Amino acid sequence: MVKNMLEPSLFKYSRKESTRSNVVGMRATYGLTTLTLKELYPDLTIFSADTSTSAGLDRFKTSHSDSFFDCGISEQCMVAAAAGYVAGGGIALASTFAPFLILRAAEQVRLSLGYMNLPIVITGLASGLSLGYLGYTHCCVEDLPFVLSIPNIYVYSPSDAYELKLFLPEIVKQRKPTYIRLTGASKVEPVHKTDITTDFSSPIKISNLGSKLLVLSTGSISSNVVQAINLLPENYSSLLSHYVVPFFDHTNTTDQIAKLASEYDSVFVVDESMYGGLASFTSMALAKNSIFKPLHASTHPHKYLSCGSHEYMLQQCKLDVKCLQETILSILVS
Amino acid sequence: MISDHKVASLVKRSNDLRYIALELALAGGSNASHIGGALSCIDFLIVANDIYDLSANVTNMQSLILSKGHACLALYSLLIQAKLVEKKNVINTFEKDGSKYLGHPCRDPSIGITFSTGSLGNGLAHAIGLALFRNQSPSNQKDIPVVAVLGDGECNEGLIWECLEFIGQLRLPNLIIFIDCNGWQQTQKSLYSHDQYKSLFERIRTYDVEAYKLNGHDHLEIYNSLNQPSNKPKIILGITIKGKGFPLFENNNNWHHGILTQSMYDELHG
Repeated sequence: MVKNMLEPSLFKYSRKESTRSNVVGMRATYGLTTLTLKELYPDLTIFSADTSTSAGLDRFKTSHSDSFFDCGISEQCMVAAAAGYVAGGGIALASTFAPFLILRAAEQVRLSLGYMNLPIVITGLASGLSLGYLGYTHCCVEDLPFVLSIPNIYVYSPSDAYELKLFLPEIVKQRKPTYIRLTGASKVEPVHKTDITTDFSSPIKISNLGSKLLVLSTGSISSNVVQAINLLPENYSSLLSHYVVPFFDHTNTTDQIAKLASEYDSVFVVDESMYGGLASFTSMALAKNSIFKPLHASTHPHKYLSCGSHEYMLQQCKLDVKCLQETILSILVS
Repeated sequence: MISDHKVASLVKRSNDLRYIALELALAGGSNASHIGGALSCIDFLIVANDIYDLSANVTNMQSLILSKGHACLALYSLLIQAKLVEKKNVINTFEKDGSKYLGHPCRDPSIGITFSTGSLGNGLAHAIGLALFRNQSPSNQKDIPVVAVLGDGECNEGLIWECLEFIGQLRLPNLIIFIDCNGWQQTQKSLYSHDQYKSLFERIRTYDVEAYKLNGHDHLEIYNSLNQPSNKPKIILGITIKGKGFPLFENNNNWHHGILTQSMYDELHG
């Protein structure tokens, strides 16, 4: 049963705005959008862990210095202090690089957002493999699996920077414990090219052409899926549909994914995470709803790979456009 | 300065609280309870409560953060003494199935517990955030400081030192931190007790805070330190005795977490 779902909202597509956001990427868009958030929520306060520039927050820091607190390189302190701030009644956002936010401060995330259910919005920068050239210390393929294992945490994994700009005010408005997972390089390929209708828990349609295969993706890797589908011969691309999964709401999203999957012959999941990410979430959604469909997945393998550029890392995971095209084709042919 | 009569009254309330804690420990039965570290921080709680009226209502009580959550016997006893919760209810359910009174406090603002604690170090960071919010929002209980109670063993946690660095920047005048230096941690002597907490105190003084080192069982000393005007956060190192109040428990680390039997209870209760 679907519970507590919001009424669907319509966001009008603007190509100009999309280009403007995607050309600067997720992180800069996040930081710039906090200026809008501050107008909407004058009490908004931001906590950082010596990563204000990396989060695009320098303008916020300058314009609203009384509402910006830098804890230094102290991620545990940042998350737990933001929790204290919110427990008093404030609105707080906290951000730093995803591995340090989610893995180093894992216990504070579980305690504050999960166990105590405090409505802090935490944002993980450069999740996935975009910083592969810095090594796995700075990649994060474990954040989605970890956060999805914690009750009460709502996850938002934007597909492109324009979507992030549109949705962020609504995400903050919900006043839920939230993890925002920002993926992709400094420039993001747009995923959305039409108006977007969303209830902030269901998958969002990108293309809906056929019922043989449902392709689900989350995060900026969705742009590779869009490109891979565009490269397929028309007689194949017309057999499938592609939805992005930006929201992970344990109450509704599993049921929505199951309902969607029931309409297709098989499902293919694309995610930069290791075990426990969207593929696991989807398999649980199907199992919970007794839906038995062939389930395919392209994800990060369960090992650490040799490191390099984002593209190099994606190729090793078979998540680059060419490999995704071949995988989709092989599923359709089989 | 407070009168001898006032001090005597505080001492009596401390003793009363210790006997309530004893009853709760008995109720914990075979699940055992953290007795030693609860008894050592009670005198500070009594004085802080007297000055800030923490237990006047649940809203005030939300300002008290027991970061050393294992000392929950002291917190629950204070809630009982203030009649914010029903004694019978706590005794009947302490550490039992489905209880809200577990061996570490669980967040429940309706009874004045703002944060779930027990995972050491987190309570201090929560206290900073709460004090920061109140300091920014004039309408929010600015007259009542946020009071965090830590253990000396808890100071092993790196998070404590992350917090102290942050406190140094913020200069929150509405934050009071009591470190219960009872000489022990779970399985050994406190790592800071070898020099009677001298180096811990010196280390803390390097931050931009008002620091005190005093006898954590001396109500007058605690009272005077809390009453000192200051525009900085206060950190009080209270030198205490683990298990204070009962010879069976005092300075005996077997009672860090132990089972109090009916016969022991009867003997202690006299």
